[in-house]
Amino acid sequence: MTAQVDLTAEEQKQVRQILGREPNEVEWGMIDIMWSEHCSYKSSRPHLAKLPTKGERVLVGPGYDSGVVDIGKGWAANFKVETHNHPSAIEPYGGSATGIGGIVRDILALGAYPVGFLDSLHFGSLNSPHSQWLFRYVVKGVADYGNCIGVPTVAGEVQFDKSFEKNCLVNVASFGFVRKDKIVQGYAKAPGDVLILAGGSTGRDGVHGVTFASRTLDENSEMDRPKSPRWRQSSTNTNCHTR
Amino acid sequence: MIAVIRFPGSNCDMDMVHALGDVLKRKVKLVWHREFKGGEFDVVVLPGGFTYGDHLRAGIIAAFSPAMKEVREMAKEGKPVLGVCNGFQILTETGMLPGSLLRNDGLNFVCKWIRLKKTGGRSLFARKVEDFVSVPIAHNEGRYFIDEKGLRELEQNDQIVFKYVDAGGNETYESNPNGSLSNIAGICNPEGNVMGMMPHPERACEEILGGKDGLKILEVLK
Repeated sequence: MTAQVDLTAEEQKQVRQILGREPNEVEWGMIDIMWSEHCSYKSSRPHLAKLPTKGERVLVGPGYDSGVVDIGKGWAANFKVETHNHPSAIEPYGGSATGIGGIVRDILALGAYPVGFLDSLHFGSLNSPHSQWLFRYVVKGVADYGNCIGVPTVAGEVQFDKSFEKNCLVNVASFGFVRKDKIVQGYAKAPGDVLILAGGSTGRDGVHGVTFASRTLDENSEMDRPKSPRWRQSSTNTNCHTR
Repeated sequence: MIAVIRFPGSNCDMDMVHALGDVLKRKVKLVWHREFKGGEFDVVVLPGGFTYGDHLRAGIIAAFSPAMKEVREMAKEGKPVLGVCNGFQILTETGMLPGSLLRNDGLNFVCKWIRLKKTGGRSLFARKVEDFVSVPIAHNEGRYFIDEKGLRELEQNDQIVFKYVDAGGNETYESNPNGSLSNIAGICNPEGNVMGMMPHPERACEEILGGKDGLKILEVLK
């Protein structure tokens, strides 16, 4: 094993089997990300499969950045939900804020304009100082990111139960709208297709943030907290919408 | 023709264009800051938002942009210049308006409707405004501050345009949402053609938004 990855031994074996050789360090890094809990939803996939995804009004189904439904008169609405449980459990402000950053990106990626956020938050007992700390800063992270890009958090729910004490749940959702004929789908499948990666400058602190979601949280997880979260992407948001 | 300048991170630009163009039927153009030429316009508006992600300090990076040199020229020519929220922060950072905007005294972002009293007759923007208007605020750094001498000058020159007041029209501690010195919500330059204000008149331009008092402030722009 040359690279440090968060995949299980069984998954690593599967990677070697599919490729027929030992992947190099870059390949390990890429597979580690794409097969992470965050990107592939490997543990929740069987549950997600139970949800309805087909219908007359479904314009873009599962597999893309966000789901799109026809809302009539030439308009479509798109939706995205994301969990940011693990990052929020060790760094509530940056953890929840980057959750908003991720889902607003998924709305923009379809060419849509983001208009609102929702959140569903679950913490341990409100009597516990740890949960109070998480509650305060998770809410602040969601609110601040929305304020920065000018998109309001319009509704949400919060629950306190001691079963969430060591593993808070931070779910955020976003929605936007787009003309049906202006939907953009980002895929480059044929050789020669051009891939353009757009975004704000970022620090090294995000490296391995995605694969962190695959790990099991324990008392040492705090050591994984990034030193300098840089999450303000408001200028990128504006640049994506110079319409 | 009115220009609304968009910087990276502006986020109330479309609202301002909607209020001026769709509601007030003014000729208005949304201009990317790099393409802005003051000579092409009669009025310029700096909308709210988080220019350059508020890095270093709210408004300071935009304050050093070439677009702001053009805005300064327009102001010298006597053309109306309005800065709302982050636009006000940019105007104080350029020195076009005195004082500065510090972090709210409650250390939290405040978003709510407030009541303003018109206190200054000098500002061009307050001409159509009755004594009181209700408009929303939404900011984290809106606590207006200036030294004692500066405050005296503002008062003597009639440069304080709006103050936060309660329902009865009194300047109280409770009606001051961010701890601004002397309840100041908006000020103008001595000539009256440059105004900065923390509240958002463009968010109060239709009944469906909760009120349209903001139009009374924007109405003078042509």
